[in-house]
Amino acid sequence: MIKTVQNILNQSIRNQLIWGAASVLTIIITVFAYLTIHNHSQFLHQKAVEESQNRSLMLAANSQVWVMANDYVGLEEVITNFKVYQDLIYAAVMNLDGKVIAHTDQSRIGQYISDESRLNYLKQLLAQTPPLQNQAVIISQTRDYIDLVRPILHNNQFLGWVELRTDQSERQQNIAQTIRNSLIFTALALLISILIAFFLAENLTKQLYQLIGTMRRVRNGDKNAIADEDGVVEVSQLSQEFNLMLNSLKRNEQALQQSQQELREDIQQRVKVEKEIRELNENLENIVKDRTEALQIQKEKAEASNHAKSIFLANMSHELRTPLNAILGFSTLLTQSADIPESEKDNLKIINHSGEHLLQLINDVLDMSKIEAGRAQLDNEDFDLGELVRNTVEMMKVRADEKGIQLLVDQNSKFPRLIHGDVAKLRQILINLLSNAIKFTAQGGVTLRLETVKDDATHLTLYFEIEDSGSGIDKVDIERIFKPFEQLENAASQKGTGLGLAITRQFVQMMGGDIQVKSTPKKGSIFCFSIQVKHATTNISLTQNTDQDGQLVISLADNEPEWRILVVEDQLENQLLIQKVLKQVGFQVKIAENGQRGVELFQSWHPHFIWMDRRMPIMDGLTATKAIRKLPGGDKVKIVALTASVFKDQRQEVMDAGSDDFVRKPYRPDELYDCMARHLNLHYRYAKDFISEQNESDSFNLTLEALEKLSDKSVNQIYRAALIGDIQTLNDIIQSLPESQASLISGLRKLVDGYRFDLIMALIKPLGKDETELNIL
Amino acid sequence: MGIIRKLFLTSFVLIFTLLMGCNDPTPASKLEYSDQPPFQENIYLFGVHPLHNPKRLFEVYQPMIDFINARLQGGKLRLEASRNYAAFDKKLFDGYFDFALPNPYQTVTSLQHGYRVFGKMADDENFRGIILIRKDSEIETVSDLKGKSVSYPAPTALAATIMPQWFLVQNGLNIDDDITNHYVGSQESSIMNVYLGNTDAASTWPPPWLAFIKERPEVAEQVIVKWQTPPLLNNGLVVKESVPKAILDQVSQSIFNLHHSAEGQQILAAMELSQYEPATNETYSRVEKFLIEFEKRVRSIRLQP
Repeated sequence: MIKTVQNILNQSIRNQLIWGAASVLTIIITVFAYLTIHNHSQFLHQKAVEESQNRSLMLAANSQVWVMANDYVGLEEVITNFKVYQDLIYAAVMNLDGKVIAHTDQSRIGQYISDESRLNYLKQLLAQTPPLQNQAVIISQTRDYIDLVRPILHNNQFLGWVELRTDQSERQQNIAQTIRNSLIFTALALLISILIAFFLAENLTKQLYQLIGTMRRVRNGDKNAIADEDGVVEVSQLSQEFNLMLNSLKRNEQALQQSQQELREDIQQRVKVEKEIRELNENLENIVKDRTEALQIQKEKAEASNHAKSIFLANMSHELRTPLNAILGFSTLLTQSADIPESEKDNLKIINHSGEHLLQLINDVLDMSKIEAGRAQLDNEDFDLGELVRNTVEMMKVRADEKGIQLLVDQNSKFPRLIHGDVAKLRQILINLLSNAIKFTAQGGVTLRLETVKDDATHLTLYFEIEDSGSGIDKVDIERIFKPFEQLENAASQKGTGLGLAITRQFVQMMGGDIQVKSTPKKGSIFCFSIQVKHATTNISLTQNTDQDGQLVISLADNEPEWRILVVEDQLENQLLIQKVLKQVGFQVKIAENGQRGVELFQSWHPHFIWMDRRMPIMDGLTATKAIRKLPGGDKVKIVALTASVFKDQRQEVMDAGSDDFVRKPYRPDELYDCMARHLNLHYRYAKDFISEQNESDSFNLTLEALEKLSDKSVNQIYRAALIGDIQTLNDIIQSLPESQASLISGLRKLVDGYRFDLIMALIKPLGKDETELNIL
Repeated sequence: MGIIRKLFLTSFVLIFTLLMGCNDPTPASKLEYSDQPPFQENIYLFGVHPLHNPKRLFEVYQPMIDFINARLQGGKLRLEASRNYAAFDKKLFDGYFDFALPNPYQTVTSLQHGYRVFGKMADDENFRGIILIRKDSEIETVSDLKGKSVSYPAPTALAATIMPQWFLVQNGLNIDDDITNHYVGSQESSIMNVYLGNTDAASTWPPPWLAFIKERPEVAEQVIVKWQTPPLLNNGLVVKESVPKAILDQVSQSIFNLHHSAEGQQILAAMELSQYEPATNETYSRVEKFLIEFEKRVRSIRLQP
């Protein structure tokens, strides 16, 4: 249905207009005409009937009396009056016998009705019972006439009836005429509407086709084609818009052509430029190639230089350290020897100190060089941070005490004991900062604060703070102090290489942090830094690295077998040193002056342990190690390299060659003892034990005797200080003791140095000096 | 195009057809006449003399006819009025009626035209003539009427015309010379003429007068009965000789027993009558004699139309 309608609506305008308008119009007119005619006809008919009814009423009324009197004369008068109606075909009055007692056609008077319809009517009338109906009835009806009958009543009694036949032919003619007229008008309307529609359509479609033609011409390239803007409003609008569009298109085309032209020129320009660029490029490439070559050469040169530097450093390291090793080693031995008088020992101490200082200098310089050469690396391992701190503090305490200033440690409870980091560098950092702080503080003290800032189970951020109440640093100097070889003016007299802070900063940065300084001149300074470390994974037992708090090794333990130690070392001083160190405690020692000799001695003597130096003539340490490993029993022997090498990769070389371990030169004797203890699983007897065996009881008794002689006040002071671990106070007390109490002084000092507050308290308690006072404490 | 065209044509044709086929008429019937009555019903015409106009006559007498018809087997009475006395006389003397209720004069005359008397109205006392004058009239004696006009219903109205004329003659008037006589057709007309002043006196007889003043009391205010004539006989009931005895007997039975039922009395009341009674030709010989006398001395009656 909808498709059909759409179909119709999409027909040509002309057709739609013509047939659409025409048919619609026709239908409407026809319908209208029909309705009107129908109504009219009905109306006329009704009117005719009404008129007939009225006439019959009149006739009945007028003739009533005469019917009663059966008076033909009267009746005739009445009927005659009705002749005035032109459309009356006849009028009649009948009595109850069916006799015509009056009739417009006089010939009928006296006759009886005999047709069925009227007889039926008469029968009906006669059969009616009161109340009687005085109604006109159309007894018959054709196109040409209407027959109407009405009874004549008087007092509910029929007297007769009247009959009227009215002519309808005129009415019919009227209607026929009307129909004819409407048909004519309809036809006319149809014709005219078709014509008009046709002309309108023609006009419209002609214009539209004109426009279509114009469009075609435009499409085919006619530049001057333009739509005629005259015409039907809508078409005119369409044409106008079309022309505007054409103009716009023409303008666009022109603009396009113009821009095309510009583009072409632009392209030409571009091509030219491209060519230039390409040429430049080629040029550049050549230049680059040349440069690269040059750079390559320079790089190689630089690398060579760097390599040379490294070798130099390594050599330097070795060359410098080796004699130092001898100096330090022997001086230490002498210091430890019981044969040397105490007065001389001071001299030795000086030598030692100097040596240490020199070593420090060398280390600093080498470290700096390493850093500058970019060879500094973090050497991370699990270690006891707590012990490091303790040792370092202990070491620094000595200096602090000498200056009469405090050295306090404020350690946060969360500060870890065991971590994974570079112990040596951290030690260096702490020593550097603490020694600086002590150096530049005349009164008051230095506080070392330790905190854990962040801990996420694997990684830690540790925070260190060194606060001093020293001379402070000017703001302008704060950056300067970190520069290598910079020393503050007022510190020119101070000892030091001037590299300490620079190195410290580098090391801290390597550990993922940085150093900061806050300082107020004359008030003090705070040096603080954070570092990133990891939690230690192995549980380092205390006994491994330490040898019982650095206790002096006296000799091998009693139950130890004979151990054969082979020392492969070319330098005479070092040979002697090691030999002495080892023999002293009871090892069997043989010396090989080079690798080859070492191998031979191994084969013949079968040592348990080999100290292997690295640089030796004829055969160096690595080669010897490898050779020995290949020999029968070579896998069992412990080979530890003695190396002055500072570089990690060189140490790795050593391990790869087959060494079990390495010890750095210069080494302390206890390092050697430690190493051998670990690898051979042997035990020593310590000085402490010995001394404590010997001296402890002595010192104990001595001290006790001496304490008894002290005033209660002093004793209490000592006890109180010992209880809270107040080293400062204890030192003061010791200081204040008269020189006559030398043994007490030394005894107490020993205890305090050993942090043996427990022993101090143990000594005092049994004195029972004023218990209440003691208890309060 | 095709669709539009089709639509167009179809609708056109449809409508055209519709217009053409108009009202469906009821079938035409042909009129037919014959000389014979369609229903052979025994209708007996009962004519009452026009003492009233036809409408009034029907009102007064139709109930009696209905009463009779309800008890009548083998036929039906049909009441017929007449325009005026002339028309009635013509019908009666032509033997048109089967039954009739004429006045005494017409009763007697009808005997010559195939009728015979079978009954009559009672209350002869009421059968007299009366002469009316306006109250404001100066007429005192009959002789005062000389030179005046008098209205009568019809020349042959016995009580209403003839008897009053006899009275006037008996009282010294010459009908033809002394007064102007206006025969106005009906009783009511006669009364109206004197009331309206068209005539100086009106002649009528009691029943119509009584009925009239019942209906029009204002007339009674203005008009009075001046003279009364001596009574004669009331109206008679005649029957045509050709009417079957069975019919006649039933009719007689009904009529003469009217006064025995409430319904019948009601009917009689409308007629201002107490009853009908049987009678014969002989009963009306007195009337005949009087008529002969009148004709001798006053004027001819029977010859007048």
